Amino acid sequence: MRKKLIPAILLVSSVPAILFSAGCKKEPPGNSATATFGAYDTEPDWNDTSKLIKLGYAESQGKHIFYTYCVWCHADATPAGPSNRSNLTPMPPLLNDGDKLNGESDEYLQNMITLGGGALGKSEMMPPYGKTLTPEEIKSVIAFARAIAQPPYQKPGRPGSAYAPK
Amino acid sequence: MPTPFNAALEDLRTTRVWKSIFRRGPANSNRTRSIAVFGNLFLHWLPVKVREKSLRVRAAYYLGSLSFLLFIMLVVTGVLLMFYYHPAVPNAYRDMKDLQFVVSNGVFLRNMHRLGAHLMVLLVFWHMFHVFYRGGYKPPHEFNWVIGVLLLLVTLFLSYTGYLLPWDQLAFWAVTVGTNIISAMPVIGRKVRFVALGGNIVGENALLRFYVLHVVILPLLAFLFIGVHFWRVQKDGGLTVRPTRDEDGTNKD
Amino acid sequence: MPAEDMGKLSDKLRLTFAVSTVVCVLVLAISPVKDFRAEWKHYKRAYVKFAQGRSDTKRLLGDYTMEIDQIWLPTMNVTDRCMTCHQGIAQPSLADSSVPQPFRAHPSIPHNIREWGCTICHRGQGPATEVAEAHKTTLAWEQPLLPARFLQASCGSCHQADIKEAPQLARGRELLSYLNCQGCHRLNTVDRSRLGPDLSSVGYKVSREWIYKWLKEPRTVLDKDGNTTVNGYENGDESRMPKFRLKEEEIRALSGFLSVQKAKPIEVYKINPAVVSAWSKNPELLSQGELRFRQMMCTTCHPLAVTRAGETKLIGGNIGPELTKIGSKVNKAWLIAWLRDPKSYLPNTSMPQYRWSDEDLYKVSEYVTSKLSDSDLFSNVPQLGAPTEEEIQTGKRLFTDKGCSSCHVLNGAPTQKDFGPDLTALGRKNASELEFSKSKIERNLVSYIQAKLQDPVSVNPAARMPQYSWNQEDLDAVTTALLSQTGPPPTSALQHLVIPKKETAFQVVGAFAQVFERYKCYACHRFNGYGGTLAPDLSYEGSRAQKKWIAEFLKNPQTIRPALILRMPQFNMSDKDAQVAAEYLSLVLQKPDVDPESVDVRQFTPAMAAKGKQLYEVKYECQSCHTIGATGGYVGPNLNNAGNWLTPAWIEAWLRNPQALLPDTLEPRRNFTEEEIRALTAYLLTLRTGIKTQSVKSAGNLHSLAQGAGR
Repeated sequence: MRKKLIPAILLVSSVPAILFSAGCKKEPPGNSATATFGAYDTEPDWNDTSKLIKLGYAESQGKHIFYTYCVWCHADATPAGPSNRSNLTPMPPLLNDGDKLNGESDEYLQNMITLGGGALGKSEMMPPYGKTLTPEEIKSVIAFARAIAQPPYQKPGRPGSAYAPK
Repeated sequence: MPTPFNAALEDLRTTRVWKSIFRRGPANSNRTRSIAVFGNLFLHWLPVKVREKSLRVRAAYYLGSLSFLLFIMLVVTGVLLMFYYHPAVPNAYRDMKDLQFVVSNGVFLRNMHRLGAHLMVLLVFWHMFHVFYRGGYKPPHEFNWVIGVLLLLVTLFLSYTGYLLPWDQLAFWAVTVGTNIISAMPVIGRKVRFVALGGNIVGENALLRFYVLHVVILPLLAFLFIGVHFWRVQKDGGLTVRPTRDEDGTNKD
Repeated sequence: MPAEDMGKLSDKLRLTFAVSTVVCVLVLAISPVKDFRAEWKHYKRAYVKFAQGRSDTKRLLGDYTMEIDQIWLPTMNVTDRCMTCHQGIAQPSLADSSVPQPFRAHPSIPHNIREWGCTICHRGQGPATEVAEAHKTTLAWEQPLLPARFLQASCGSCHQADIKEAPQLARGRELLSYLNCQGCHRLNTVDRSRLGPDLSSVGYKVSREWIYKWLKEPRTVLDKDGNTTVNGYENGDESRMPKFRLKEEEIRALSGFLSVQKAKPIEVYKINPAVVSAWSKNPELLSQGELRFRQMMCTTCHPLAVTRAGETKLIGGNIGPELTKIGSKVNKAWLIAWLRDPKSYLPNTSMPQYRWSDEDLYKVSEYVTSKLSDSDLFSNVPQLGAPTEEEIQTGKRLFTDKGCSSCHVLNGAPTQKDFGPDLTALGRKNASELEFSKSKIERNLVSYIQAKLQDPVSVNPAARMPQYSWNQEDLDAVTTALLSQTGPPPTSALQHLVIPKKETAFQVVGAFAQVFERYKCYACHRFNGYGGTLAPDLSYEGSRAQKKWIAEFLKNPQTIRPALILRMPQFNMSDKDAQVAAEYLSLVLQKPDVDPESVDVRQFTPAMAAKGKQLYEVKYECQSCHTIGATGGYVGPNLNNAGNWLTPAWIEAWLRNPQALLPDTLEPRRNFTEEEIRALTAYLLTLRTGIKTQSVKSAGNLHSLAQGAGR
């Protein structure tokens, strides 16, 4: 009887094995994230247009506000062609100017945009946008500026934290 | 020397409460052992005595018993599933998803039920083929064979009605195809389809109808037929093994 | 078996029972153990650990329980259990990008998460509590998360009008309208744009060779080898007609069929012979013609390829067809008839009807047909004579078979509907409902749409959809707009949330209606929400500009905004027409609370003006954005002539709150006191120049400005 048992077991266990393997399907491919798919929006690096900087939701809102209100003076190329920047003395900083802007805190930039340059002791030519844009919108513009800054912006952390400036 | 535990049990057995429930006394004589089976509501369907040979696995591979066991399991898991299921159109699918994602052990419950159902159909077919192979349909067992076929049909219907209940694409189209086949019957086809679906389309009425069939009517029929099936097996002389006889006709064992 | 042995179990049986019991219990234990180690529980425990490492632990764990969290909105079909793993989604202190997912908070958006759930915007399987099931396509669920890049598609399910928070969606809808996808496909929320030109009389306009060339490659900026000299698309001016995959015989047949379409003969206009004889021998003819062409600002609406500093660029607007080689395209008699009265050829054209003197007409038409042409254009077109009857019949059949009549009107050809599949529910389709054929792309909806847009044949070899070409940004925008086509809302609650687009119409009657229709003001300007966006919105022009100035301006448009390249064309309006238009604009198109008569000019004194000048130049430095004379910034309009141009009431209202008058203006709103406003108004009213007719010199200025621009 034992002689018949082992082949019987093998036969019986092979049936479910075949059934299982037939039923096993490779999971249908989902959507893999490509570089641009993962981000809500992208902006080409102003210093090297072949590189794309990924933007989140808040930063992309800031991008649209920037290209509506600020690009005319704070960039060298605008959608309409000539930029107003070279007309102005002192020349306003380019938005991606990390050297000038990275050192300023978010609060300072928020105040600068909200109250205007004159109120903070800088040129009067920067108008106050506090009554034109909401504080959320101004924050999003600052977020956009941080995202495209060259050299890149490092968020300051508490002393001793991993994010503290070196 | 009886242990304190056994002594306590003995005392328990002499109480009036015990005696009113279990009436036979300890099973220490053939009489009391027989009463233990045929005096019991659940066990009296089974024979008091069985031939030892019929207890071997090779006798019938326990196919019938396993089918019954699976049926009981399906009833238990089914009732537990009923706690989480609404037989209404948007809810059915959602409840199935909830079983998958929210209910503790919901996946297990649902899978047990579904796999049990598939296995039961398999076993029932196997049982039927084996009975046929062994000639268990010959007189005096021909009535039981008919009951068995009816049980097969009940099993298949249970499977089919249960298939619709998750209300997913698989279910919906399976029922659509099946009921369209029904409607191809001459003369009465369309009417039968109408009765089956409770309407002209596979919709909420069909779902409710199939649910009632699956949960009430068909299980009741199944219990009924199983009862008759067991009764007939017992009355026709027990499971499968034919008594071996001497040349002069007396039983050997 | 003897009676005493009954009921005794053999050792073998005992062992069997024992082993099988243990095995059973172990198997049964699998489920509770798996349940204990459920994926969502893992994330919940991880969140607790994470929160304990933060400074505001108590607040982060305020309503934490080891249970499934869900947002349940049955009327909106929302059962979202996303918050179970994304525990920090509503915690503002976790908004920083250094917080690891899935605990990071959601960026602030116009909608409250608890009122809307997650899947309305992000799609995916809301009821799931496993990562793969919730986010990806699985065996039983085919609506994965929408990639972040196309998230604005979900805004479009309810917002049928464009909103400023979803510019990519607006751009996608604009493209769908511009490229007339509605000609073949049914779409929601997309304006049905002007169709392709009426071809009933096209035989009078162009030659068969030109039609042949166009059908083969619908771009006019081609050289004789069929190469594009300017990448029209890069400069934002792709031809609206896409490329159909036509075979040689089909092109011959269609070009033959179309070349005999001569339903309405053109009125040939004979230019005064005296003018002809005066100018035909003049060597200055073509350069004068070019000058007039420039002065009439044809490129405001029409693109034109120009070569400057060795580089060829497309300049101009995109309302009309490209004119670089128009001289080789149209025949001269047609051109003259067209310039004189566009409506007679195309009743619903956007081209205004200029008033032409014979001299101008002769000069410009000569210039266009000689200089804006390419003699080699047809050198690669085979010899096509008159078409045979068979070709005409085949062409007629092809005209409907290829879907031409979905966009082009033709006498005798039935208008087609539903040439392409209905796309109103495209956004909700499962991948298994799409036809992928043998393409190698991923099997999901987004990849399908992108592949179909870029190359229809790759996903369906029998596709009749023509070939478009896209840059990545526009491709994504159109994909977004198509993903927003989600069909009718599934529940009545969602139906109530849909914000339909307000249909605007601007009805004009009377004398102004004739002027309005003749010069097609609405092609560029907007009037109470109706019209084009190329030029300023004139809904409040009556409050803004002085009537006399408007009339003068219409006769001689000047530069108002130096930074812009496109200029209002000079239509040679008669005095009467200009007067009618100015009166209508002044009287009717006013803003209710800015009455141009309300502020008396006489109250402004020179002292106030002097103070205003000081405010302008020193305190507020308005010259950073505005030009007066030769100095100033390019951002805002030129204020040289502000005194003649703007009404005092407008200036005051504007300085008080520019956004109330023009919601998306760039002018920042400042904190002027009333006194400062009056002083500045006084100053601006002193700035007056006489309006000069456009001289050669001023045309040169525009030229140089345009050169610096490079649009």
